[in-house]
Amino acid sequence: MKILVFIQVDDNQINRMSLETLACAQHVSNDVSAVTFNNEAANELVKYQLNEVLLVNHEDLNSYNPLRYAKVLEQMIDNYDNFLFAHTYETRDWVPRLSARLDLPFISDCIGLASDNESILVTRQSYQGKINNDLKINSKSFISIQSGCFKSDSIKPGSSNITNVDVDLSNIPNTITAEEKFKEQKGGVDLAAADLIVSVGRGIAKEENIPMAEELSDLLNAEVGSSRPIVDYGWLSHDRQIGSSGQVVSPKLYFSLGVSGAIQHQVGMKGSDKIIAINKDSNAPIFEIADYAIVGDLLEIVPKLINKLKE
Amino acid sequence: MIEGHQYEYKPPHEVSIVFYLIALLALLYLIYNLRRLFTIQVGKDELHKTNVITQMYTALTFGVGQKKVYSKRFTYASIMHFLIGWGFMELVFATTVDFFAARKWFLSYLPEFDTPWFACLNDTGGLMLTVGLMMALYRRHVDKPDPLPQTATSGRGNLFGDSGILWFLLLLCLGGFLSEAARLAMDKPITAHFSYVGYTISHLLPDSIWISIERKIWWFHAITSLLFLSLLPMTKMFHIIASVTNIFFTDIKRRGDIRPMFVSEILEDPEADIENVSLGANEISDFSWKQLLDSVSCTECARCTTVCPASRTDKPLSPMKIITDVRRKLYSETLNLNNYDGALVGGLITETELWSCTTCGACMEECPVLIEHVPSITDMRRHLVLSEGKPPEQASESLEKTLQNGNPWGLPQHERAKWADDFDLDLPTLSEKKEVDVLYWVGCAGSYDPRNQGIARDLVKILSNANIDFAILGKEETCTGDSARRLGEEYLFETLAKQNVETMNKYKFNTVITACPHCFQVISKEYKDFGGNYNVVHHSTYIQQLIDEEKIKVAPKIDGTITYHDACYLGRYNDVYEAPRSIIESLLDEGGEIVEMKDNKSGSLCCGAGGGNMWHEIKEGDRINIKRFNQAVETEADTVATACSFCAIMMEDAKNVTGNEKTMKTLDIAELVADSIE
Amino acid sequence: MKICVLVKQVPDKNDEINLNEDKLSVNDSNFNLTTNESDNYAVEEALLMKEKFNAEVVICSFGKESSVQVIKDALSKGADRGFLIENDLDKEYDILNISKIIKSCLEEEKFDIILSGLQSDDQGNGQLGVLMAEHLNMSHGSLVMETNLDVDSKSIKVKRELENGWFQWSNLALPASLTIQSGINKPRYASLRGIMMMKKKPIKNIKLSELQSNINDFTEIKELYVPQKTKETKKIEGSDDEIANQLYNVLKNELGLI
Repeated sequence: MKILVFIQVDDNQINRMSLETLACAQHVSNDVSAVTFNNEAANELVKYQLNEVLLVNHEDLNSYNPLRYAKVLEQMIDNYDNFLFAHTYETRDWVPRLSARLDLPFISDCIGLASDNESILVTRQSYQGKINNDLKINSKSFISIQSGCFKSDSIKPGSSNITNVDVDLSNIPNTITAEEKFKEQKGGVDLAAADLIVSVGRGIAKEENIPMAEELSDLLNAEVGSSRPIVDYGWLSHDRQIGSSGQVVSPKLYFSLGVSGAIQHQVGMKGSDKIIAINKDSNAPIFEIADYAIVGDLLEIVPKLINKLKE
Repeated sequence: MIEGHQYEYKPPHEVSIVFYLIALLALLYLIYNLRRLFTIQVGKDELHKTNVITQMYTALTFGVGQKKVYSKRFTYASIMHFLIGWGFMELVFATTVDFFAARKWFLSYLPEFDTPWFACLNDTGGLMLTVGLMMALYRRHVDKPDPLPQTATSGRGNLFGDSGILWFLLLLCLGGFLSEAARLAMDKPITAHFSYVGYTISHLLPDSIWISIERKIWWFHAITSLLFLSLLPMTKMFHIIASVTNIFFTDIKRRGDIRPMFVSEILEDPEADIENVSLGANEISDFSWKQLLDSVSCTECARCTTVCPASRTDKPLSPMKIITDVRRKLYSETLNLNNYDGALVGGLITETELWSCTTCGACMEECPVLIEHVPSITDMRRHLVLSEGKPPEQASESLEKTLQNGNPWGLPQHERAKWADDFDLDLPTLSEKKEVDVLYWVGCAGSYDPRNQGIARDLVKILSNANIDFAILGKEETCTGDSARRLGEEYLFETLAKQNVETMNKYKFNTVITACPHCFQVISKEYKDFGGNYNVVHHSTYIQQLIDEEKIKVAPKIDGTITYHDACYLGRYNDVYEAPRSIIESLLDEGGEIVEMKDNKSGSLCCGAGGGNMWHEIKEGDRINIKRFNQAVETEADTVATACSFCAIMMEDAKNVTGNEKTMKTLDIAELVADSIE
Repeated sequence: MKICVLVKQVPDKNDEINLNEDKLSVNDSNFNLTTNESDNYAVEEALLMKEKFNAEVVICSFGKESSVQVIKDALSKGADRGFLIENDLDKEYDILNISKIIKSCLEEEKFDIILSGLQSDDQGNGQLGVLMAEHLNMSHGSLVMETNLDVDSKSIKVKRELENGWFQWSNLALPASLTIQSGINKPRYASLRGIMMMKKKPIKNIKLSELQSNINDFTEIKELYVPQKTKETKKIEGSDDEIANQLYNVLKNELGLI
């Protein structure tokens, strides 16, 4: 089975999730190649056990554009059986175009990959992580791998060669033009570097309860994070948001208050060493991944804990 | 004729035809001004199920008798109004009798000017009015309580404003006494001294001067009186006519009830003019004529505003302003008076004002003229929600969750009985038993809120201990819809009502008990409109019965000071004040004592969660629950007892926020009893 | 200006998901059905555009017959008309096939803008909007947090959400397909008046059995199952005070963090 792994590069750095995808591909096949549009990345990739490293050098590919990216892969379709991607926002933005164009399925956000020599087998989740789906794909396919499902440090090292590839990027309609990317505010908190995080979810109920979480966080020398709804309400700034649309964190302790732990939040904090979760709902998904589970009213428990910490 | 006196009837001095002409004009103008009362005809029909006798009795006691002015609070203002009201009525009586006597009509039955008791009574009436007016002026100018307006605010548009009319009346009193003094000086009846005030005044000037100015004073008094009468409906004193009329038409039994809309009938009516059919109240014609009569009758005493919990915590709401704003819009539309071209809801009355109301009913409890503030506010909320789709932001989520999951928190419907399952309580459900003595309606809070789940478990413990044959509905129970209805979401309320009635009517039970007064109000009174007629008892009443009938034995365990917070929907709405108190009494140990907060029983201060306020925040002002809790702190009690799911949450919250979590306890009646069961 | 919003009916996030005996499908008989969360935001965004630019808003849904309810809900909020592509074949389809089915129904209308929710709460593929863009030759923007339509220049600027707190504005030529992220706006409340007016709005029904579309069967479900929990979770129980004490112990002694 010939697999091509697309390597996403952000700010001249290989995206960690792409390396995880690479590790995943190597587990499933001996014939794995990688494709990248970035020179530095290509030079790094040769250190891994790959059939070849494809480098597409074209000035139109220096910044992301979904139509151009799709056009490149379109021209490689015949040479490989399956194409793997990291399940990033970028992937979600262009790979479906490829899927529709070539009438080949794109199975996204997979947590497991296997092969039975003729077909590829994937596992993905549905109903917010409540059900696993084992699927067999009977054609060429595009597959994206969920963050944190494979460890990037399990990549098999080796040595490979860079093959320069030319592509035809003419006749691409100029209907999508992107400006420079930006962050909403300067000097935001870098939760990815935090050792301890106290995170608030909808269970905090009211904006006036946030200082209580902040107090707990201060007492623990932690940073405050939150799930998406809290930021949407405007109760905390965007740099506090943890999840697929916020920061991905891996602290020693993730102490969540009233966070339900829906899948898009989980992908942002699954990698935490220890997770303590307080939530009123005993069925909250966060309890699936928590080390310590408390089903209760955080508005009652946290003040008492704060008092205990102050003693 | 008085025995022993040679009292010769002295006819009054000639009254020229001019007087009668002016009087006629004044009367006509008065009748013309009464058109204000008739503007209410633009309102919708309102059904009445009472009879004239009951209504006359109501009008006499509450209207003429001004019962509520004294019964709610006996204060400076009550005394003041007693004097003004009765003084004025006495003078009207006196003037009428004098009018007849002067024309020798029914002379044998009527007392005359100088009949001693009559003379004395009349002067007393005049004196009462004068003293009352001076008290009122003092209050208005010198020592004014805050909610009381000084000038004509927000276009309430009373001629002469609030204090001007008092001065005018004072002028009438002055004129009255002066002309009496003049007459006494002129006629010198033997019984003159019985008119003690006039008699005294008549000695202040020589007779000759009195004689010379007597006619002028008479005319002065006559003209000012007629002027007052003809202008009456344009002044604040219109309430004399309007409020008694309003009280006459008030159905005491249904006062404060939210009227159903029967939305499904509107929906199923193929002829309905979808774009224009009124959903809630915004146009003047959307209100019922009775609601409009309410607005016309407002005397602007501000008693409602003084007790309104929203007002007391500096929120924009003033019940008096809401009612007078409706009046302003009414007059603007019908009489082109004090024009306001904008909308009533969202314009004259802002959305925040409407959402600040907790529907606690303190305003209606206070109002001396029996205005129904809450139903009018609810009708305007209905307009905001049903017609414009604008519930308060955070509350809209709770409404959608209630529709989707059967509870405002949006927690899973299928986990509604988890509070029992998790604790191995082995509670039978009606779907299993089909027939039972008591249905325990748990409510959303009891089912999902940890604090109230504890109360539910304690109640179950009590019921089990008493060997009561009871069951719950479990997953078949959904929200009663109280919050939805108070927020104006009548469509959602109806949907829930029909669903719950259908469920309950599948089974047989004698009594429904509930720990939540909101559920109690809805199930016992409001489901009747949808085919649900049940015997509902609040858990405090039920527990009291259990104690009285010795079905449970309780040991006195409370040895500290305890105060009881009356829930609005249990107290004011349903008159249950004594049961919780008597339960607490039976739990008091030697050192135990029950104390009352400043505002208690029917004057209790709301906890702040009613009217849908549990589900959204009003940004302005302070927290109502904290204000209430501080009243408890003032009593130096160490325990605050509650009997309502919302109050439990609010008091607990306030206890923590005010830093009293270690020093005070907030406990439901069920918790107190469960703890004391032997 | 014609806008189409693709909406999906999904089970409530609270629902228990039970599998059928064959382990190849989910038992939907007890589902508490509702509109997919991010689709609500898409509908609201369309209605905002309607108000500003006098656009026509058409609601389209693919699903079982019950899906007509989500169309009705959107019409109650102010959309103009809707159509249901009714899945009357009792089969589940993967997202690529669904997109082809929808394409065959949408093509002739020539919409200027297609809006859809970022991803569905049940399958969570997150692809439909971008697939439609390719099928119908439109530009696209995904994870849209803000829109700025310029009718005169026939273009729309969108603020896209990127990872790690980055954002980016993109300029898209119309016609464009946008996938809408939750939180972009505040979905309005459906008033009773809106519900009443909805009853007069047309909803077309197209049956899948009567459609021609080239459905493939490349994706085959081998098995559905409930994932096994590998982590050991310690429950901390008791009264609030006891819980606070135990937490303190965990933080101090077990985790050594204080």
